[in-house]
Amino acid sequence: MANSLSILTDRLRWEEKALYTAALNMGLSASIVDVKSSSIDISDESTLPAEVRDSDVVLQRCVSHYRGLYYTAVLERFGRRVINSFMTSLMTGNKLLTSLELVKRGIPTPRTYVSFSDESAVEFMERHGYPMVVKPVVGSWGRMVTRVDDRDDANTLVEFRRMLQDPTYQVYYLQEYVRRPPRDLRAVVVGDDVVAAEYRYQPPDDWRTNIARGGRAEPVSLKGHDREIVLKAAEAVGGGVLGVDAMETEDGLLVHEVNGGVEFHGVTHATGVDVATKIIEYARSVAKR
Amino acid sequence: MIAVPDDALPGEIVSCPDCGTEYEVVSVDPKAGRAELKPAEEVKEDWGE
Repeated sequence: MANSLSILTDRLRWEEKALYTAALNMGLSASIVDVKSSSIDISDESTLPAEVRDSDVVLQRCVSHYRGLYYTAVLERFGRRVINSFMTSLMTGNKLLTSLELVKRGIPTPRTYVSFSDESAVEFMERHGYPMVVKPVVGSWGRMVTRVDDRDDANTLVEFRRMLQDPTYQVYYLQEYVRRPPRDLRAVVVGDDVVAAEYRYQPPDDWRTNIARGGRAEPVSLKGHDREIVLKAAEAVGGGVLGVDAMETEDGLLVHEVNGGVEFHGVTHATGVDVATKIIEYARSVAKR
Repeated sequence: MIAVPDDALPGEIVSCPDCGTEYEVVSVDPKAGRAELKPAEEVKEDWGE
């Protein structure tokens, strides 16, 4: 029986506090560990924070993708069980890696392309036709996700990305623009179960549906083929605690993202499901394996 | 004046109601009605879900 868990954070959100409270309510010994204060000798397990050393399982909940990813690498090196695993965090933190796996497994997803320079990206979009959606390979909350409607948009985007000096912007992740209702689907997968799902409606002044951008939510019960697609998408990235995003089309759902650091405040509020407790129950079951 | 909830935990973010600047809670002492804050990190490119 797992008795203790630690929650790694670098910015304590509603979600981490809910997880901490849920763990305490279930009688577990729980701690919140701020990874920003950690320095670890990777040859010496005793230099891990004491709360982490004493934990049966670790929930990695950093808001920074790279902090969470590399902290997980260190913990797994010491044989610790981390949710999500390094591989899942790596896959979900990179939209291209996620798409490659979705395509490989035949999971319906928007047609996706990759270009490796400013020039080839613009040339490709001209050849493919507009509109297209361009996303950063690493990033979230809809940030820098751009709908490109013509060559002028494409040139402006390229110039802007060039100014940002981020090496990942040399890689262009391009997707077909999918015509969908003014909403998408967010499903929270915990282990092998879809514990809660919601439709996210785009705000009046934005085509993106991210709740972080002001979208509103409505509960939905996922069944049959749709549920199967969501679970397969979660499995494709290695499983764990995930937010699977999909769009409705005439041909069925298209999975467009799988999030490894899922924020569940909105879906908890929309559905009434105690997602935090579901995650702690899962963490406990993982620790027992 | 920045309001810090009594049940705030270290690491939580609170905002200045006047200018919106975010601060991270370092410690809270509800009995003394005091909290220690430090400027919160600014949003980075790799932040998110």
